[in-house]
Amino acid sequence: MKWRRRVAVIGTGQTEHTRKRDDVSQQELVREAARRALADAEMTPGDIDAVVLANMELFEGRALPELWCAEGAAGAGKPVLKIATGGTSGTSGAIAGALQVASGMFDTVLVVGFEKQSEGQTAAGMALTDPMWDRHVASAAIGNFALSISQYMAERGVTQEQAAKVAVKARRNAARNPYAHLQQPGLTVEQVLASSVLAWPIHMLEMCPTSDGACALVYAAEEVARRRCPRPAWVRAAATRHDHPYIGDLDRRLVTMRTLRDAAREAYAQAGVTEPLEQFDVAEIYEPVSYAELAWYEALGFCKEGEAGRLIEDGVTAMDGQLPVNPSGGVLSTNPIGASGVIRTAEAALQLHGKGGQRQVPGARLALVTGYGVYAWSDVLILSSDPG
Amino acid sequence: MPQPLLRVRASLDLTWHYAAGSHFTRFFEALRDDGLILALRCPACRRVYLPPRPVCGNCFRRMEEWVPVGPQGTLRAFTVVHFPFLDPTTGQPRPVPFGMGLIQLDGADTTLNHYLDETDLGRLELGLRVEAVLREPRQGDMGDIRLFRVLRP
Amino acid sequence: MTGAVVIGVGQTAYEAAKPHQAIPEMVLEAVERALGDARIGMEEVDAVVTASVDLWDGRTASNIQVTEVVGAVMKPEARVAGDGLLAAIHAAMTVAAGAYGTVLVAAHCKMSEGQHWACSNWAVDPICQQPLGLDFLSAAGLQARAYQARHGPGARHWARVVEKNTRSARASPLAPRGPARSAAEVMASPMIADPLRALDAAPATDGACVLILASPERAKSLGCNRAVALLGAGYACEPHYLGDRDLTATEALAAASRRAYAMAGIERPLGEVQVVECSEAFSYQELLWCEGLGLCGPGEGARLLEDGITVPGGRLPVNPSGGMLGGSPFVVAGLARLAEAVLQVRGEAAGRQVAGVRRAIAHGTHGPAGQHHSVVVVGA
Repeated sequence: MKWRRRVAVIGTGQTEHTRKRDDVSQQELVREAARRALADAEMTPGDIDAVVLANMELFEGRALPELWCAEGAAGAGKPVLKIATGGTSGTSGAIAGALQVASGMFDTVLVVGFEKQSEGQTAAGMALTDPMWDRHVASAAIGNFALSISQYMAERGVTQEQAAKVAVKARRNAARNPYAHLQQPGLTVEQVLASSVLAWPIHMLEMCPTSDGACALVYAAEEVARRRCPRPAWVRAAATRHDHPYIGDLDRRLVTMRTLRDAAREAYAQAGVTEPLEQFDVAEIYEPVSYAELAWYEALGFCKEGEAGRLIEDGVTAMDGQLPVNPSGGVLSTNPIGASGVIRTAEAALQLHGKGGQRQVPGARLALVTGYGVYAWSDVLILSSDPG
Repeated sequence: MPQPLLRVRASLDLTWHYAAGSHFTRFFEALRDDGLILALRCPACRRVYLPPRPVCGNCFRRMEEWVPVGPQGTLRAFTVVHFPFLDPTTGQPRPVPFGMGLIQLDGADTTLNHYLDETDLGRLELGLRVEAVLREPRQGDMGDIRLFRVLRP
Repeated sequence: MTGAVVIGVGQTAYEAAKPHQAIPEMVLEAVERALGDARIGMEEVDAVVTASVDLWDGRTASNIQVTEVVGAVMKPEARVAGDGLLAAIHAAMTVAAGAYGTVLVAAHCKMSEGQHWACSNWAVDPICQQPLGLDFLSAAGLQARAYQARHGPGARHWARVVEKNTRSARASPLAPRGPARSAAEVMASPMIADPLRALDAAPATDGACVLILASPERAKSLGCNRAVALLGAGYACEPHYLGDRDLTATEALAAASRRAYAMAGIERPLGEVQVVECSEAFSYQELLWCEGLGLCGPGEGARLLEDGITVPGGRLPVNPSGGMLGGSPFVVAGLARLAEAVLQVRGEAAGRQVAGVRRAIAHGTHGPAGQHHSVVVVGA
């Protein structure tokens, strides 16, 4: 990778994500995650040079919330910046924080993604799409995913049962993650398919929740990372792609998912990955709905097109499979929007730190992280125990 | 006994006046005055974009060639929605179920997300021919296209 | 040095309203000017950083509306939801990191489409300050009052800032058409947030500003011979509750300036830069920001003005473009200040050029009573 200097994640922290955190304000939610990340990194606020926050403020009706919430991350007096890019806010924030360290401007950066959706009206926020064209039919992520899924099913032959298996994997994995929102250790395919249909073919139990939560990462430049952390999670690649602004512009979105494909291609090249299924030990990917995970398997090159269903059925991406995908339970189990991308990054990093507890993938050394947002924005990061 | 947690209530009541801009102004005027759906063609890649917009995002070229598309088209995606989403134009939850699709109007390369007149999944499939049903009288906004009617032989 | 240079600048005219343009068309205008100024095509742009605030635009993920016109289709884009100068600093960091060779930075706002003060009430914390009705206007009123309490009555001086900047704006091809305001007119305008009067506040405007940043190596390989270096940059944020701050002390601005000056090797800005472009959303702020930028001591901002130092033709002109008082929108203002600073260094600031500019300071701010500040030093 051609970054000027190496950067690693040396600490992570997150809140117990849930439907409603009535006991804390947004600032306190940020503080909870920030304190835990600092404790994990064995650092104090004074050790942090700059703060990056990630949040989709309009969902809570807020503007510039970092001005209030930065103090939760000990940001008063410090350089503070907020990234807001829909669902990719967290991964874009994670990439931004890493780049800030790589630039040489700061040696340590604290990234905190947060969202307190119980305090807002996500539906109203989602309805503020393009006022000329999209808004009259706006049906949020559920509606537009349902449309894309009808194309994906027709072209790639995935079945409702295969999609339901993704949800079952997610919620069962979540049961071994103390931070996950929806923990359903006994969830079955039958239960998923019996749950109410939100927009055909998406059932309630295979769609992501809305959550309150925050997640934080501590980044350090190489010299600091080596000094402070026994097993730094080195950032080996980062790539981002945005795409056209209207859902109808994207040619069979889930089928092609060109932004994810191209971001992955760039990231894999940066990190020397040619066989993702073999080389990655763990993947934390951003799947707002069950079918999306199947589409991501193909876009990320885990399998050939049309084989995503086989991958889930053969257990290749289960905890005991060749490439565990979303040991954390993923976005399907936990979705505080501004935090979700930071959670993916943190969950990948803590796997490399060996701190995965009951969801630890033994011997994990190379991790893939993806972010997804709006219609087709994609982020890809690769973390490694090897500095490269 | 634990104290109830305090919540501070605030209600957002803001108004925005969005300029339609030259492209949507032309689009809505043609829709209102002539019942025509206009799209724009990129001079470089020849892709026909609906809705119209200043540049082709792939080529970064300004688009000036207006092309009428539809009113018929092909269904490229569909769903039946059971979740009562907030309708931003009324502020009320939408009555459910409603059919929705991505329609590729004849002549366009992009698709339009819009309502369908069909809510029976058994009667929806990719490739169906559909036709725009316009509101009368037309007013010059997206509501002028009321929905798409599935053309049954 | 930050490791980044500016190779292109493009701005729309700033107007009270642009009813014929939707945001994408407006931003495209600035993008095309910037690309033309840099003499590159969009294919040379590696990445994009945008600045916009959803609540002001009435759009969720408001950067989506400009994706195509800023060239972000199938490219990396990050949106900084705050002042545009902060977006430029972040873009400079991504260049310095080695991730991108060229980055396009675009800020937009159409203040005419929303309700600026009402929106700003949603930018203060929901528990203590928002329910009191605090917004950017009343926060500024409080700050102006605190300033007077510490340093004595200032309304006369503030009115002269408005006079200076609105007069300067008339010479800029980009500023809104409109009369220069005399100090007497300002002092006679109605009180809006005591001690601030209507003409003490920057007018609401629509507009967009685009800068193209590059690494020095990439600038060279693109054949750019008018690159202006970002010599230093800094940003900082104060505590949020007004009562936790000394509103007259400009601590965040001082911290941001110190950082920028240290990188740029500047010890005494008054003697070492030749022009300053700062974001004065209110008249009194120009004086206060001059103090925070270290051009003078606390409370001495008015003296800089009255001694003729910061006026056109003075030793260190401040806001020859007219600044925000001359017409520069929220979110765009800081990036526009950087654009102006670059034009000054190049000698291309038609109608508002300061003689012999080698180094310039650009400043941006957002939040109640200047809670957050960004400072950049540029030079040849």
